[in-house]
Amino acid sequence: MAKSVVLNFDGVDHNFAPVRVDRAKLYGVRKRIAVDGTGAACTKAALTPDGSMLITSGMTSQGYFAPDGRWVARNEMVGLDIVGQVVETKPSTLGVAQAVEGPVDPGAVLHLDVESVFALEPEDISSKLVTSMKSGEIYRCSFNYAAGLEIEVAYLVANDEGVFALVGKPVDIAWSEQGAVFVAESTEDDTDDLDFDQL
Amino acid sequence: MTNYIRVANAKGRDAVIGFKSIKGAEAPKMGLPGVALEFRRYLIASDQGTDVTLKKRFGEDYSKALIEADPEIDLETIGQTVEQTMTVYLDAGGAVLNSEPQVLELVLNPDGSEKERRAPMDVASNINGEVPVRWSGRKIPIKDAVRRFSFRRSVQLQHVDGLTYDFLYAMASELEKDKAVMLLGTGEKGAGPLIFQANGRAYRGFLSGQVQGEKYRLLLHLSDMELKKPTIPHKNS
Repeated sequence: MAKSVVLNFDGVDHNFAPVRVDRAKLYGVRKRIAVDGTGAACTKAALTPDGSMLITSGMTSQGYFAPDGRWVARNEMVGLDIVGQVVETKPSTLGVAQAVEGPVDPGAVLHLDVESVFALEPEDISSKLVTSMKSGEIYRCSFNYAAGLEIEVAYLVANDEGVFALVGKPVDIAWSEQGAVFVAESTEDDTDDLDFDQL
Repeated sequence: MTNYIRVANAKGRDAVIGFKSIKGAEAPKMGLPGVALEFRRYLIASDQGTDVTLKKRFGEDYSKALIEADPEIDLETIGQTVEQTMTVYLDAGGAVLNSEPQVLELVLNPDGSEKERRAPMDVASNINGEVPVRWSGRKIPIKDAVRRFSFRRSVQLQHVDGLTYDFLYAMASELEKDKAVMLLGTGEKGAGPLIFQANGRAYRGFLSGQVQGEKYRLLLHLSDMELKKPTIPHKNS
């Protein structure tokens, strides 16, 4: 079982059990499969261009190689930022008290590039923090489910279903000005009836 | 994927405008300082060295055979770089299919169990066709929307000329004033989801806006999930 999310609010630590939430767990999932003449599921394989070798599951691996052809083990590698500077690994924040900031402007949540969503089961549902979130206030804290090369940001929100952490990276969004030309990249009346199940 | 979207405003006037994806800063990557590493896929076994083949040749417990005779090692094959390949399908017996397989759509319940098998339907993109993406008139306060929906992606809408600048600036100004997002929808009634590419994911779209002097920001937030707790344990969780 994962460690708790520990949030420090007004000098008091509050524990929450995190459960990752995704669309498949809420609504199920659709996927396409290939079947043979008998209706049994097919498996995918790869054929070399000259047809000489059929590559099936378990026959390949992948990795990084230095210019001299040497295989580079994962534990030799370090984190590098976009200019090639070494980046230290950031530990998981689970089990470690994180300072809660806020309440924050709800609009800030719209400037988050969300990468994951967690339902947070509070140990104490009547705590001051949970009560404040249930009343509509939104907070933020640092959040790393696992150790990584960055510390992510979580916005903490609550609704009738429970408490949630929206985890991701804040984004800087440029303003659109009249003189700037757009360049394409290369590549019924009640909101309660919004149907997400059929998406 | 198209980078243009046809959007109608509250009065039903529509225009084709540009959009671009919004992403967080590029994440650090693993590597060696000052060394350009190359990512490669390579062979670690020949067809005689896979688990399936070894079980056929030596039985379920083939560890002794590996230690004594190294039957899994093929020095001619192992280590070869795998570059371009063609995808083929194998039937249940492991033989290559010589004709196209039948493709089915499998619908799974939240617990991972199978709900339905059906013929797949191709779905076209619907954001830049004859019918515009409509301004539904359903405004939701931002403070409620961010507590109710998970926004998986956001794109920034941008004008392509002077006329569309006025068109989008007015939308952004209205949404900022109301501190709300506007539900956008597709189809004649404007109630359908947005599909950005053929057979792509379907989203509910929510438009938010900000203005600063003559500048504006108009963002379309895309959601395929409400903020709810899963009620059934998933088979893979």
